[in-house]
Amino acid sequence: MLIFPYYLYAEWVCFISALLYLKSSDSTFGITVKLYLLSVVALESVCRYVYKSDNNWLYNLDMPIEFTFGIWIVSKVVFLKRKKIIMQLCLGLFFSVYLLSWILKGNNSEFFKIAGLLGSVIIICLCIYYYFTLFHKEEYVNLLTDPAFLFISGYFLFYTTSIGLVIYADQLDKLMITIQVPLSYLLNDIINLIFYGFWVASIICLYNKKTSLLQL
Amino acid sequence: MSVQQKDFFTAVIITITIFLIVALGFILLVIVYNSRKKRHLEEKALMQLTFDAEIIKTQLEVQEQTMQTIGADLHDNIGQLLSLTSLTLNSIELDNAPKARQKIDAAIDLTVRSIKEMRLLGKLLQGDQLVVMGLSEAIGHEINWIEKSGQHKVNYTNDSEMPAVNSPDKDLILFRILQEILNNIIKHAKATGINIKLDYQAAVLQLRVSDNGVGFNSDNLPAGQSGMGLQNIQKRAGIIGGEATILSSPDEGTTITVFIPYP
Repeated sequence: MLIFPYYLYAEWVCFISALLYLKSSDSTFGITVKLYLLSVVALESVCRYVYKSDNNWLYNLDMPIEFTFGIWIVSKVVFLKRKKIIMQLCLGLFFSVYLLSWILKGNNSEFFKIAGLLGSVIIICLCIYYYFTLFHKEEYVNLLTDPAFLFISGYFLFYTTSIGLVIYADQLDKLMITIQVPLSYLLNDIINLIFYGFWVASIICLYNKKTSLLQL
Repeated sequence: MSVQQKDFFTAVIITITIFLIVALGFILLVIVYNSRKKRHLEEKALMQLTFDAEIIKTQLEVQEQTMQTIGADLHDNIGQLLSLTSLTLNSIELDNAPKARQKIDAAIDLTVRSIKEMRLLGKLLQGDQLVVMGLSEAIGHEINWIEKSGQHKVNYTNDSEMPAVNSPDKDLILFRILQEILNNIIKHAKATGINIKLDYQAAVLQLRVSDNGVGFNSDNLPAGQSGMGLQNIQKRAGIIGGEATILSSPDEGTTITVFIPYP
């Protein structure tokens, strides 16, 4: 029996929140977020209950979806002067390393660590850039209820901390805190709870914002 | 768990905790900065409100002063001229044609002078237009009124080239400051000569007003009258981002210099 499926709960809660609160939104943003979260819960559920071990190939397959979505959505939130070029550059860099990993290793049981790390670093850089744009912004926004800030902060916390998890992924899987539970499960749970907590808050704030705008 | 595994476990936990703390710290920094920005914007808005209120107050004061000038002028100047015209016309004896001719000419002259004075008053009635037509011109106009009293000799210089773009709000405040200074001189200084100099250099407009009056010791002003007018001058200069310096000593006159960033 698995003791720590909390990250899965967090993902489902976030997906359901998106379904409920992004309901009125028929924009590309709302639809893409929902589709992405659906892919996340589907992948994690399959990995948790179907392919319990040796499932790195599934994560490797999902990696392009994860980082394409990440780069796309962050660049949508962050004000970039040459958005298209920067996005293409980031995606090009990530896919080059991803394909290189695929060619060199083949998609077997080994996780594409370098591609994962590079994707994380790209998103962290975009997040930091977003924070700097906040410093230069002249008007005041209440960040604690700002959907963009909560969304980016969730990403920033997740990828900053998960860098450690990716680096030590192999060793962490072998390091057990109880007979059945590896340390990586516990850390994953904590990081994902924080991450999806921020996203749920972001989705609710976006919903409130839209509702209050409609009431005006 | 072996000792080696325990060490690794600790290292991983510490590394991830550090990453988490750094990330949280960064987010906290952004939030703190943002809340300071909020305070700063609130203060800025408050300052703008104070500035706007002061501008309105100044406009009202300028209007009030203009109305007082008009009232006094109607009574003392135009009223007198018209009374004199009436008296002259009443005293005409039609039997004495040459004398009547002289009196009619005098009455015509008085009427022409009345019309001129009325036109001057008409200009003054335009109120804010006084400053709109240019600070230097407004100062010239103000000096005209003072010189009419015949008690002060005013020397006004403005050799520098004024900027092409002006700032009507700042002009109005500076003009009001000048009126305050001139009022103080007329009321308290017992001066016979006033020097006014307007200078513009390196985006700073400088107005210097000096008199040869009795002067004062700013440290020994009687309580209750501790230079309300002088405080007003400094307050108003501060509102438009400038400052005012007051130099005075007994029997040596007073020099007030106002610097403001301009336009």
